[in-house]
Amino acid sequence: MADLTALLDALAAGAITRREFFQRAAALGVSAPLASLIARQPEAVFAQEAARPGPAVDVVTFGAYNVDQAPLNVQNGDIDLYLFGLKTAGAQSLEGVDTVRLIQAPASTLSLILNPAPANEGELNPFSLPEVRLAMQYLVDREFIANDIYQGRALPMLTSVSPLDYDQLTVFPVVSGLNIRHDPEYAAQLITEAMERAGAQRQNNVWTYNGNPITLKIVVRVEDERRDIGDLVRSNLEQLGFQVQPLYQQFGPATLTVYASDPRTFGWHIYTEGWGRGAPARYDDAGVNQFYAPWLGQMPGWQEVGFWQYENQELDDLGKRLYRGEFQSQEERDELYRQMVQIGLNESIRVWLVTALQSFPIRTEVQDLTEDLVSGPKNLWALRGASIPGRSDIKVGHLWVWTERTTWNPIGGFGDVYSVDIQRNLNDPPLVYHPFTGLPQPFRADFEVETAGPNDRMPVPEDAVLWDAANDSWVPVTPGTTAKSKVTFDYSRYLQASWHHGPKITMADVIYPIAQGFEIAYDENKVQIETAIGITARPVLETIKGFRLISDTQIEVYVDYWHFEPGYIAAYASPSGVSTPWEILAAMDDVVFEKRQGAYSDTAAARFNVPWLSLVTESDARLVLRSLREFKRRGTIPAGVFEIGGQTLVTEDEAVARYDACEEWFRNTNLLIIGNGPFQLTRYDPPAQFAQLDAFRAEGYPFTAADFRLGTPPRISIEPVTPPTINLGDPISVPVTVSGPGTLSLQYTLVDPAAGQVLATGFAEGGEGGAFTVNVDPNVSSGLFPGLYQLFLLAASSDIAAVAQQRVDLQIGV
Amino acid sequence: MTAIVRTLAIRAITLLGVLFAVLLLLVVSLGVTGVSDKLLEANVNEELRAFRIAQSQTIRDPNQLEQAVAQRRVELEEFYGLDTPWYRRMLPQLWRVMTLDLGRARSLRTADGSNKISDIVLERLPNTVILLTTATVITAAIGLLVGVRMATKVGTRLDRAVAYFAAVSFAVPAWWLGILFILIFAFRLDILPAGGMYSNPPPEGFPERQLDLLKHALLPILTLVLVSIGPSIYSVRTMTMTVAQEDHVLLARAKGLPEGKVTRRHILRVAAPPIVTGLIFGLAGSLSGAILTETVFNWRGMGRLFFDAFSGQPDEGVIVALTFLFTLIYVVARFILDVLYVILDPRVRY
Repeated sequence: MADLTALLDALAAGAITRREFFQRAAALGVSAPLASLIARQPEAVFAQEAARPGPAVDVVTFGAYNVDQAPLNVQNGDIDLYLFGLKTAGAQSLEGVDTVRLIQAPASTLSLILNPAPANEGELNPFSLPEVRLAMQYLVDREFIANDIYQGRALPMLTSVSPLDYDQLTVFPVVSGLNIRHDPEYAAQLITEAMERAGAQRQNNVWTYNGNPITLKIVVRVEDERRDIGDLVRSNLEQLGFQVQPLYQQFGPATLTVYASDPRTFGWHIYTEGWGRGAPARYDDAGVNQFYAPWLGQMPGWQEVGFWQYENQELDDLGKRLYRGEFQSQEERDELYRQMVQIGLNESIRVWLVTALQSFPIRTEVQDLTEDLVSGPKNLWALRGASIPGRSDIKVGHLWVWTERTTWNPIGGFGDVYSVDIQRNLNDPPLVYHPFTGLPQPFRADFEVETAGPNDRMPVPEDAVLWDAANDSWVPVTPGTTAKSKVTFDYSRYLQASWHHGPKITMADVIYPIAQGFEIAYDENKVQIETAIGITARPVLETIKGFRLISDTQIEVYVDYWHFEPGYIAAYASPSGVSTPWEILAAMDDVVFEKRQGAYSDTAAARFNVPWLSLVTESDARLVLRSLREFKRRGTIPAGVFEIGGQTLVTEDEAVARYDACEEWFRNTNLLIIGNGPFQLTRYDPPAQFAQLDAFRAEGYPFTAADFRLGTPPRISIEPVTPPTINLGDPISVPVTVSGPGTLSLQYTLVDPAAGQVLATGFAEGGEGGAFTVNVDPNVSSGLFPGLYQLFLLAASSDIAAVAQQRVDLQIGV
Repeated sequence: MTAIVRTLAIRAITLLGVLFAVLLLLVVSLGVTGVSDKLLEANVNEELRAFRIAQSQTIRDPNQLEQAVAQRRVELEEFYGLDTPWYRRMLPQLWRVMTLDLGRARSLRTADGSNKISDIVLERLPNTVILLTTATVITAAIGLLVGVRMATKVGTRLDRAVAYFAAVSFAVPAWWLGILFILIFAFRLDILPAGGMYSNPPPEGFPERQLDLLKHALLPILTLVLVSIGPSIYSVRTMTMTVAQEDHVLLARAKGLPEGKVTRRHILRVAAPPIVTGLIFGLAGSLSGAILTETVFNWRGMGRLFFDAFSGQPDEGVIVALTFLFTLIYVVARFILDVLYVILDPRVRY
């Protein structure tokens, strides 16, 4: 269609004659009558293009390109965009290049982890002293890291919450009041006091204990900017009198040194950590636990048996309450969160540095590419809606297309980003986290949530069922069963369309994965084979109280889960990914559990000496195909799965037709990756590091290109505030203008930086059209002394999971 | 003759002993020092950390999460063989490898999904042969032709130019030259690919695919040849120069023999042993790949395999198997040389 567009443009411009137009149109496969119609009514054709099902382009190809060469490859047009973050130097090299722009996303965070273990007899570990750890917060120069090392492509951060995350609203009062800044003198003061109290002495500008110099080992990762950060920290510490031994290491050795050693052996004192981020999360609960609470195994000691463990009961208690959802309201949840962050800052085991903005290069002619607030172009919509004028394809580059860890199996595979970044274009999930708001919302399945609230329960109907793995059948729930919430899912938009290989999507495709999950978790034989998958599924399945097919397209799920945001309940309760046709799953189960010729997980594959099933590997696909052929020969339908709610969901004829369709698909592609999304995988070539996705435009597919075009995230910003002149005793009233979508809010905190004291905190007044006024309580302002005060502002919007911050320096009475 | 055969047989047995000793040393040092266990424990810990984070998204009960992690730990320890002491894990591995059963990799696989180390090696080895061995053969051929010629032009301007070229060729790092060539030939002139083994999209027919592979090999081969051709020419030149000044060569020329015959029979034949030594070891060494060049050109060869086996998630079985293979190649090369010396130089008798 894009070629036809070019032809029409050429015809309109007089560059070609009508005769040439018809000839070239015929070469494109367009008949003469149609070409004639198009020539007379191009708008109708374009409208048809916009209305056709499926993505904007016809073909997307993936290839592997070295990250250092990728800027040149994009400039050269070898690729249209690169899905792996560039290094800072690579991103800088593209500044000023007209044909390329950079999508920047806050896709990673960096921290220092300090070893707080007590030293052996006669020695001193400075980081066992809380004051020394706290001093590190003032020693690190986050502004330098962000502006010099990252050349402006990073933002300073003080807690585990990125400065752009929505939960900044939650921690803002805590963080703004602490006045943490780069202050080496203050850090030196804190360190000196603590070290001397502990019995250390400074001799010839070097800290010693029992006459021996104190040496700190800093493990510095060398693959990226952390090398420079490590050198900076080392320099800062040396200036304060510590001897520092840098250990420059790559991922493997660093992991060995830090995470595989007992902190008490002091193989390390500091480590430069880096963390990747995925989609925006409006309400975090796992992250704060991961980065502050010892119980989750991410604090020194790592919950390894035999290692010294960092312990903090209060953090664990708060964290587990937050994790389990033991709160009655958002306010209560926020308070738990704030307390955790406060304690975490006081403890300073983990010192946060910056949120790094990853840069993804993209040619400027690529249009309509949706950007995620956190992950940039790595989102569900990006390649579905994007297009390039005059072309019907997009060439995507990545660091790799295939690695040794790449395994395409929907049960125990997809453990690396390279397969995930391709596979997300092949399937439509029922729900998705919105790329701007971070809230779960319907994508291809609609949902309706009913909840009894955090403390009450609702009855589960007696005709609701659960899968009985022992008897291979759906059985009614125990009378008297109750649940906290009910979610009704409607799969109409799936059931109106077909799978890539032709057969219609049916409720059987929704039901089979549910039963399969229960089978792997509770069937004694299967748990012995795929133990990890089975054991980890159980805790979630135990909160599922029943299913009920209430129509040809709808299923009710009863679940023991509550959240103040209904979308989170739906996301938790979503029973089925609907990502693979049931017959493929059934055949894979046959290979794994009956024939024992393959495995879902790598550990089971190693234990039983069988392949870790990957449906893009021809030999593995043939194993699955063999099972399908046997099913066809015997007329097999999985026992009991499709007898539910008084219905039989699959007949033998339908099953056989499915098996035939899979065979046909394999004959054409040599692959058994079959999805329901806008793209189908038609070529996968690991040695060539190449994959090709072709558009899927079958009738009934519910989305068009326009549905995938969400654009770029709206931004929220605070216009630079001109500090008003405030005389002593005057009320403090500061007008602030905020720009952004949706309903806006503005919080403020007034701080006395000299005393490190929070004087006032609250919400600004107004808000109509973004016009706010910060009015500080007159009782506060009347008691101030002349001097410099800091007003921290934090703006938020109901429509995006991001915030904006600004600090205003107020001269009062000066 | 019987003495030669007996001597060669003893040498062969000795070299096999060396092979065994190297492997034993590797295995024991990895095991006794605890490095092997530490490497594997590190793998387990790292996987558990990621597992915990992933499961924390769905398992909402901390106790159940810990149970799941504990179960996963048991599985991983079995997977990595940490449920057995190192001598039960690694010594049988050593014996197996000596009988050419290379075993299975834990984290590495072929593109077809096989984790048999022999399959992995057989997949990577041809890539290395195309690149390294080809470059070695080309370098040796040019080195021989030009080096011998230079031996007869000692002290001339051409000889001095070759000497300077050899120094530069030796000093220039292959990875740097490779990057330079990519910038020039791929991005500036657009006549050769910038890296990788196949085009994007790759051709589908067999002959087209092989031609595409060869096209992608041109630039890395050129790079490897250029960084080694100088030293090769100069060393052949030096070796033959000494022989070329011997009395028997003077006599041969005095007898009126054609220069070609003098070169072949009286110079090269005598200088052959050290030249052949360099060639054989060069060919043998080429099979171990070149990690930097393979990285620059995104070429999946034996060099990258060894690096992949060490970095990231270290794969003990692959490390042992590759050490065995590289030592075996050296041992075989040594034995071939011992046989060739007897053929090339009648003065050599064991």
